[in-house]
Amino acid sequence: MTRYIARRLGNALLVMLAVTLLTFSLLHLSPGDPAALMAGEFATAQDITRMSEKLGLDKPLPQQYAIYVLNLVQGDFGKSIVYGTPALPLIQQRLPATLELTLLATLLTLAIAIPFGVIMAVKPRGLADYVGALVTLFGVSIPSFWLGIVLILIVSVDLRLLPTSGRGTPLVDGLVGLVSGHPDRLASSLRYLVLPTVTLSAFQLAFIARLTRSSVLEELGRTFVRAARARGLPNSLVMTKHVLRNALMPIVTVLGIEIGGLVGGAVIVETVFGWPGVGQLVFQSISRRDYPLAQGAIVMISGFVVALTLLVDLAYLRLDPRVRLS
Amino acid sequence: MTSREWQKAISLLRVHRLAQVSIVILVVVVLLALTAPVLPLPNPRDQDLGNVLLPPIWERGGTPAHPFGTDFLGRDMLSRVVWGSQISLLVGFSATALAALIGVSVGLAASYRGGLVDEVTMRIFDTILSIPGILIAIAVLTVLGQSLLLLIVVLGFRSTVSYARTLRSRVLSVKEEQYVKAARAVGVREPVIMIRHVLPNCLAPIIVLTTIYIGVMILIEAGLSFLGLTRLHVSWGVMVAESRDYLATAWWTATFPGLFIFLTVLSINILGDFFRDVFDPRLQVRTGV
Repeated sequence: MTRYIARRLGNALLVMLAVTLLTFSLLHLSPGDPAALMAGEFATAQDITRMSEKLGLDKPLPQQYAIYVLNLVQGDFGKSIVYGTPALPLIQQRLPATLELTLLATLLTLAIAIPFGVIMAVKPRGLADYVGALVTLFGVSIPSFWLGIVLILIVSVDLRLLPTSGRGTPLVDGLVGLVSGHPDRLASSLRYLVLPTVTLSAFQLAFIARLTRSSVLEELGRTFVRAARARGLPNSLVMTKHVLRNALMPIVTVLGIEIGGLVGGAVIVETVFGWPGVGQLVFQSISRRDYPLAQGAIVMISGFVVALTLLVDLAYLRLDPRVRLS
Repeated sequence: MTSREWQKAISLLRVHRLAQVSIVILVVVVLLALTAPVLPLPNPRDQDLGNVLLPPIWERGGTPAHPFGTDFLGRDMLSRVVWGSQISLLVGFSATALAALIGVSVGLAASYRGGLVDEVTMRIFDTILSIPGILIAIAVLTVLGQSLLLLIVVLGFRSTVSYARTLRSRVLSVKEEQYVKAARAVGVREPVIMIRHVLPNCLAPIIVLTTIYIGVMILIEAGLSFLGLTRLHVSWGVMVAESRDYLATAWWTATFPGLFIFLTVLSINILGDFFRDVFDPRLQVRTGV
């Protein structure tokens, strides 16, 4: 078990190292001189040389990369060209917004997709399965930005039920408000969260529901399930202990893979809903050619994905005794 | 596909109404894309500032000259939707073809040999998977410049991973089969075993994955166009993006291109389900975009 955890941790570190190599090459692949880019439009040749020395761009590439990684480890993400301030605080400031959006979307996905998938599988070709198949097919086929726009059009513009864009009270403050007797704060954060969360989770929700259906269906046909039934175990016990427990394995695997997709989808959803998160920041900083900020944000987002994937790997320990014992 | 699978596909298709409808929709979209230059449509880029935001023909104020209405620059919506199908289909099909080609070769070679090569390849794939594909695409397209070819290469390259991983899980079990061992025992050379004996038995999940991926690629292309990374082209994603400021007054500008993306991808996904039913309902297909 310790070996499994050590292996996973080592793997995560390797992946992060490779990510920094990619973001590092991003800057050096860009056409033109990075120093000239960072010195600004009206820089003289002297300014550019000075900037080049300051950034260490006169050193050989491997050394530059080593310095870049060492700086990252120490929390030095470089300086944003557009804002002229260190990049890390700019990213940190926007991180909570992305965290609450993606985590809530993941929770919504799991809370609906798994029960939904089980209901579909219990009676294959029944009414619930048929309706579910149609709904989930729609879910995996609809472009998220279009769904977002249609939702804004109907819910916000026509019915005037929810705000069209922006972010309300941070969710954490909303939850604290609920405990300390200010439920209106939670309402304020949820009002803004509903549409982006639904939009972001639509694809994954439908995808995981379809997967749950096929996974449960497969387990239902196994001999040990029929044996459990034959021994007269109550249906609820068979479903939870024998079927779901095993059916969850492939679901957890795919969830680990899909997290990257969910976080990537946040770039589009944050843009549609004017949600002030890291996804929007990546997109804005790249289009403004603010490479240090973009590099930092990409490293941060990938770090988030790697951390979540690691969590999924650790969830295996609980779910699968074979992993624990090997 | 073996001839028995073809027979099964055809007999299943006879009763599968949804699959029939999907094939019809896809054929229509492909025909529209191919015949766009010869169809009697106005130029999709021609602006007519005297006729901006005209509603579709069935609404009050619509004209037969613009059956789907016009956008904020007076461009004909019907013509733009038809021309837009070219980009979606081109990117969808070629990026998937690229991904399948590289993914299948790399996945087959690495997993068949096993050992260090396999290990290293899988670690590289883990890395690629941990960076959201859309971020890679945005970064590459902004840094190296917007071009359709680059977009196809980036999307295809990123999705290679899913092919290789899906194939790998299949190869690992197929290469232990009796017929592979038998082939080796009679002295068939390894590359021949790999291509003639292992690969054909791993193709079913690849065909299902390919169907799904064409749809996924169309969705990603639309998303990137929506973000403004393929502004040079007439594309469904660009059309939805441009309509954002006119949502309340001109619903048709966002609705038509969005509906075409949706229907196309929906038909592709229904066909994907159909193929999965034909082969094996328990196929393990791994996506991850």
